[in-house]
This record gives sequence, C-alpha cells and structure tokens, in this order.
Amino acid sequence: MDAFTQIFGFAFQYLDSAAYLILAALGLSIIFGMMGVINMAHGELMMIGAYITAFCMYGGIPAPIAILLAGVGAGIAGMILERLIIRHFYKQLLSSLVVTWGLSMIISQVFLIMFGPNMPSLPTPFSDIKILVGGEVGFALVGAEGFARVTGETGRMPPGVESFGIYRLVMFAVAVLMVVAVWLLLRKTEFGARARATMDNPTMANALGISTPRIYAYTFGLGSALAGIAGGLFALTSAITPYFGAAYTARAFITVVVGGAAGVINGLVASVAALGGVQTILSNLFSVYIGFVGMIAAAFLILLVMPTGISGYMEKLRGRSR
Amino acid sequence: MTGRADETTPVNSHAKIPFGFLRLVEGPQTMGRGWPFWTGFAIVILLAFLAPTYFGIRPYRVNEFIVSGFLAASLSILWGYAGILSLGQAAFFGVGGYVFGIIGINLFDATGNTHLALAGGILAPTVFAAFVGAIMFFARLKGVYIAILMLVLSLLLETFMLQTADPEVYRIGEALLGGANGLRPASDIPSVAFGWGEAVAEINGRREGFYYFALTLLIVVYLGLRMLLNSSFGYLLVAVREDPDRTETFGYDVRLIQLAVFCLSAALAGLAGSLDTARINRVDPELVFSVSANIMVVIWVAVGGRKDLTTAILGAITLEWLYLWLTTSGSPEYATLVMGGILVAAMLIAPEGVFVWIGNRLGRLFGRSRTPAAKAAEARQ
Amino acid sequence: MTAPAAKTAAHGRPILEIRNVTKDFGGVRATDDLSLAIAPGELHCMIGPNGAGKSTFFKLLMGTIRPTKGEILFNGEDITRLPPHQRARRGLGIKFQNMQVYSELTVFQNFFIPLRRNHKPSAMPGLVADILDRIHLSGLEDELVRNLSHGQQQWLSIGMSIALEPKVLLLDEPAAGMGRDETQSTAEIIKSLNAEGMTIIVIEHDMEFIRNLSSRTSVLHLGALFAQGSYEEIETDDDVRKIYLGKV
Repeated sequence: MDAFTQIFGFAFQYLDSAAYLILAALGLSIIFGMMGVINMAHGELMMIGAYITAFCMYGGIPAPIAILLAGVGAGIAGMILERLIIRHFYKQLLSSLVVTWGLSMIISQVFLIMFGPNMPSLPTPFSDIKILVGGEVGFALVGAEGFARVTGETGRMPPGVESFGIYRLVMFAVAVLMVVAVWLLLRKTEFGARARATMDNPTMANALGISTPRIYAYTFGLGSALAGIAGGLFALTSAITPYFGAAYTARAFITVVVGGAAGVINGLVASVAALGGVQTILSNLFSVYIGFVGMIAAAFLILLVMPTGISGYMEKLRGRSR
Repeated sequence: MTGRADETTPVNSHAKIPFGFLRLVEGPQTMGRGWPFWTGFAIVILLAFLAPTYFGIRPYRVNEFIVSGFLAASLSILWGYAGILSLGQAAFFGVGGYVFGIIGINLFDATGNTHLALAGGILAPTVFAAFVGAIMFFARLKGVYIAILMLVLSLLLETFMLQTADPEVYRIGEALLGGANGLRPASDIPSVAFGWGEAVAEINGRREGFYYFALTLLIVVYLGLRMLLNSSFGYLLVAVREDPDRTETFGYDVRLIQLAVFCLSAALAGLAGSLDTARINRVDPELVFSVSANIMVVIWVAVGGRKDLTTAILGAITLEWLYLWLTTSGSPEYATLVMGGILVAAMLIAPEGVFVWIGNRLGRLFGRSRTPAAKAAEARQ
Repeated sequence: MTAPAAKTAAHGRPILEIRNVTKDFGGVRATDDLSLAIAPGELHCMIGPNGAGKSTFFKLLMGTIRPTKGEILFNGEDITRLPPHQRARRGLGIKFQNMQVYSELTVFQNFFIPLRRNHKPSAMPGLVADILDRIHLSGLEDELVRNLSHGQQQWLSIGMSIALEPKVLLLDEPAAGMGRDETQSTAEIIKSLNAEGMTIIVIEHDMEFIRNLSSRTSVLHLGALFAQGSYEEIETDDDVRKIYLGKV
C-alpha cells in the first residue's frame, strides 16, 4: 500500500469515527448542556428513530424523508417523556440518571415485545458508488460499472487498490450540517436566545417572561429529534434490534462529558476531534477494542486536567468564569 | 439529655434498649430501633431459618436472593449513605466472581478448601476499586461522571472478557477465561469449602446448607454494617453526602473518606460475586458485567430505599423473588419490563424507597417515630 | 495608598500573612498583588463593592483555589499549597457565604462532625451547650436544622466553625439576608468571640454592618488593596466613597 492510500484510508476512518461520535452525541450534548441532565435513554430514542426509518422504508418512503420522520417521531417521544417523567428530576442529577436508565430499559423491552428481536435490515444508500485509491487506479470515484471494470473478470481488486463506501462520507456531511444547523438555531433564532437565557439563569429568565418549563420541553424534544435522525442514519448501516441504542450511549456520554457543558457546540466539536483521533489511531495500530479503551483512557486524562470538560476549560481561559 | 453520655453514638436514646449490645447497632443512620423492631427482626430470622423445612421454599432458587442482599448492601452504603452513585456496581461483583473462580480452579485440588479463593474474591475488587477510586476522587470528578464511568468500566470488562475465548492466550494456570461461555472448566469451579484435611465442609450452592450459611453470613454482615454506619464513620459518610465542601472545612479529607467507602463497597460486592460463582459453579461476562446485571442492583436499592441498609437488602430480596416469579409464570421480556416500570414508578411516587415509606408507617403504628429527628421534635411537644 | 504589610503587624509576628498574592482566571485578574497581615486577636473587616474580589480572596485563604503568584503564611508556616482540610487542621475556620449546614440532621448532630476530630462523644453535650450559648441558640440541640430560621442557620454555621476551635475564623457575609435585629445580634456574637481572643476576618459589602463592628478595615477594589485603616478613617475617605458610588 502506498503512502497516499494509507493517508487517505486514515482520513476516511477519522471522518467516519468523527461522524459516528457527532451523530451519537449531538442530541445528548444539547440536553446535557442546556439542562445538566444526562439522558440514559438517549440510545433508545435513537432506536426509536431507527425503527421509524425502517417502517417508513418498508412502506416505500425514500430514505431522506424516512429519516426526517424519524427525527419528528423521536422528538415527540422525547417531549412526552420529559413532560411525564423527567421534569420531576431536574434538581436531582443522580436520580435523573437512574430514572432515565429505567426508561431505557422499558423502551427497549416494549420494542422487543412488540416487534421481536430483530428487523429486516435496510439497504445502504449509494452502496454502488465507491472511492478507489492506490495501485494502478490512482484515485477514482466509480459506480457499479466502473467498479466492475476495475475488478475485471476475476472480480478481485487489483493489488494495492483500496475501496471505500461513499455513505460514510455522506454521514459525515450530514453530521456537519446538523452541527451547523443547531449552532444557527441556538445563536440566531428567538428560541436559541431564550434557551441560552434559561440555561444561564433560569430564575432570571422566568422573571423576564420566558416560560422555562416550555423551553426545557422543547430543548429535550430537540435533543431527542437529533437522536432520532442519528438513529435513522445508523439504521441504514447496521442491524436494527431493540438493543440498538445501548452501543451508542456509552460513546455519546464520553464525548459529551469531555466536551463539557459550558459550550455545547464548540465543546462537542473539540471533543469529537480529540477522541475520534485517539480512536482512529489506536484502532489502526492495535484493535477496535484497544481503540475504545484508549478513547476512554483519553477521556479520563482530559477530565483530570479539565474537570469541567474542554469547553469549560476554554471558557476559563477566556476569563469569563469568576 | 441522659443518653448523651453514650460513648458510641452521639444521639439521645430515649428508647430503652433491651440488650446492651443492640446499642451498638442502633442509631440515627439506620431505621429500626427498640423492642418492636428487634422482635420483628428475630421473628423474621426465625421464620427464614425454618422456611426450607416447613414452608417448602427451594434453596436452589432462594439462595440467589440472599447473595443479592450482599450486593444491595454494597450499593446502599455507597450511594445511600455516602452519596456516590455507581451504575457499574456489578463490575466489582464480577471481578470478585472471576477471581474466586480462577483461584478456586487452581488451588482447590491442592488445598481442599476455598479460603484463598474467597479472600482473593474480596481483595481483588477492593484493590481495583482503590486504584479506580483514587483517580476519580482525587481528580474530584462530578458524581454524575463517576456514576457513568463505572458503568462504562463494567461494559469494558464485558467486552474484554467476551473476546477471551482463545484457550492458548487467555489461560491462568488451569483456568481458561473462556470468552462468552465463561470461566472454564466449569466443573472445576469449587463450591464454598472451609476447613483443612479431613475436616472440610463443602457447601453445595443449590442445597439447604448454602442457604443457612449465606443467611447467617448476611445477618453478621448486616449487623456489622449497622455498627459501622452508626459509628463516627457513618456520620462522616452522611456529612460527605450532604455537603462535601463544608465537611472539608472541618479538617476532613473528603477524598479519603470517599475512597474508603468505595473500597468497602467493592469488598462487599466482591464477597457477593465470590459467593455467587461458588453457588452456581459458573461465571460469565453477560451474567456479571452486562447492562442488565448492573441495572438490577440499582433497581433493588432505589426501589427498596437506598438511604437505609435494611430497606436496600429487603428491596433486593423481594424484587428478586418477584422477578423469578414473573419469569417462571410469564416471560422474561415481561419480567424485565415490569422491573423497569417498578423502578420509574417508585422514583416518582416513593423517591426515598418503598420500604422506607412502609417503615415510616410501621414506626408510626407502633407509636414511635423511627427517625431520631422527628422523635426529638415529638419529645419537645 | 496600600499599607505595607510590615507596618500593620505592629504586635509581633502576624498570625496570618498574605504576601503579594495574585490570582488570574484566564484574562481576568481577580486578586491583584494583595498583601495583608493579620495580628493575633485582631478583628479585621474587608469590604468592597461586588466583584472586588472578596470571595476569591477567601477561597485563596481556605485553599479551594490556589494563587497564581504569591504566598500565604499561617503562624509563620507557608500554607499556599495545602489543601483545605489541612488548613482546617492547622486552625483556619471558615464560614462561606452560602448556607453551610447539614440541613437533614439535628443541631446536635451538626456539631458532631467538627467536634469529632478533637473530642470524645461523652464530652460533646457540654461543648455543644456552651457553643449554642455563645451563638444565641441555647436549648435547640434536638431541632432539625431545616426547621431553623435563616438567621439561626447562619449562626449555627458560625458555631460549627467555632467548634473547630480555630485560631483564625473567616466569615463571609455573616449577616447576609438577615433582618435588622438579627444583624445586630450577629455583630454582638462576632464581637464577643473576638473579646474571647479569637482572630476574626469578616467580609462584607454592607457598610452598616461594618459600622457595628468598628474594627480595622481593608477596602478591596478590582482585586487589589485600595485602602486600609480604622472604620472611621475608611468611612470618611473620599476615594472609598467614590468606588462605592461607582466613580472610580
């Protein structure tokens, strides 16, 4: 394998794991940043999104619309949970952890009982389009025909050529778009201003006529909707089971904690950049398991130096904290 | 104000205590005091000891509940008393279970007993907790982070153990880690055995013997913990839970207190894990490190009542009983659903715990309030 | 008009000495080259408008945060790097501004924590009764702390700090949120503790309360020592008036 292929492969993996972390963590990070609540049922909201996407696509609805519907559905589910249960636990962080954990257990069991242990898997979009790098090919974006031409009659890849699926890059692009959209929503809209005011000082916001319970409900709904969209995107590449979400919650949590609650978006981006890098390097050098362990070790180290996460540390450097 | 002269507890004890030693196990940190409680306690113990003979309970099922009692106690002192929630309490249970099994497989044939295995099963998680806890507490990590990092740690252990199927690599003496199948050879995992040479008592985990043994041990541990919790150390735990910063300004190193209770909790969980491995001669990653293993501990303690040792243990035993009944009469999916439902409902309706609620009612029924503060208020009126 | 540290410590070695302490939070200088010496047995007030760096100063003394530069000496020993509990053991007692009592425990049980380090449980009833007497809470041993009034809880918090038998007692806004009578009582409590020989530093932004104490007073402004003198000198100082009115 030549150097270019290696570098490309590395970058591809980096973007892939960054996309994974952003998508898994974005919704959780908004809820944590705005309300200080860690939602242990976050993965199950993603699972709800995955199921909605699956049912829509079985019914012939195209993937992008199905994924948007998944966001809407998960958002509504999140708001219902918030109004019925989670709002009673805002002042008690540890209890809110336990309650949302209980909810995650209930949601996945309900889905297990209703739909059984697994669902027919969905086709990955753009699976025909591939990027080929290295060897005699150099660098090429090919469709199914082009791919067949390169592999020739043997059906095997020529020596030195690596192939990469394009959907991973699409996911990264969507992840970036979602981050930008959330940033715009929080910075440039009326809702964002109200939400940030509530986060800064709920009592003051209330006195200024902002309905804080409503802001909390919407924020929770927004975080859940983002989880639903992420779930929909992941549904196209992985098996859809009632325990689908559990795998994401741990990584999402670590990403969010390292990012910190002081700046939702910049913290998340910095955290993803760091943890995604660690994971990519270690997975390449050793194994996926070591990659995951390394990511947790890195998170530990970062928290030792910056107990309030990267964004808290940056804010302290900027001198806003007293 | 007479009770003040008491050397061991700094509270008034207006209640006449029937036996002197009970003064050591009573105090403001534990529910239940005076003759009504201890009479009830004695009756329950008596019934429990008679149960296999006269009430037809089957030890091979009930033994599991008793082991759960130790695990519930370990989370209660950590979360309920010291305010440190761990969502990964089963990690210590699992480390204890594996270490008991590994030492047992290697040494049982030579020694004929499991003394070292049991000691290892308790010590290993304690040392592990000392290491992890030192990092977390000295970095002053937030409670929420500690709670979830412990869960992540448990899941890491699960993932690691799942990929240890290769007998060439993952072998410790005679013992094979065995991946998803669990520790092998399972037939060599010993039951609890005490004594030397000819005089060895081996206690089959599926029989009455284990039931009497574990029940006695649970009572001893329970009374010992009650003594500890009502001593100065118990006070410090509550002080650390209520306001760690303030406690520090009184000259206490809060981090050391937290580390101490974390290690004690891990030791108890390790004892539970060792007993469980010995009980069924089996330990596997799913059983001890998975999300469901961890969440069950939290459910017992949260539903029973985390801030009291008695209610936490009762929570474990009754919920395990209920869970078993649901799985045998219905289906496991519904049993798990019901457990989740009970947790959420209890957190909403009786956030301090169902048995705490019942205990307070019972206390009023017997004409004496069970919390010393309320009692003090009554006394003044 | 910063007074040199040496001059203020006229009566032998100061019990607490702050030497050129600076604390930066990122770009913001919360404490700016602050020097101060407190003599044994002194009652010293620190005042300053909001944001003057009073609370940061106390946190530096207690060790919850560490200075960027400078050192803190207690009884001649450098304690700049010691954690809070070590400072408490050496005799620094503190009552921070926010409520610092264990509200779910009784008054007596609250005292158990600070008293336990140095006393047997059998000695505690007498000690607690004695302290309660000094902080105007006699007979309330068995009351649940959350049933006490706001003012009573503040006094209890002071009492818990006294229970440590500190050599220096730091009080952050001891009269915050109190009514007129309670404020008066608080001032009396502080004065009588000082009369017993306890060194006390009080932080306040309320000039009225400081007048009650009429002690040596330091004025903090923008993290630096702005003025120092007797209460009367401070009260009549034009520059001090200006910063309180926001003109500097």
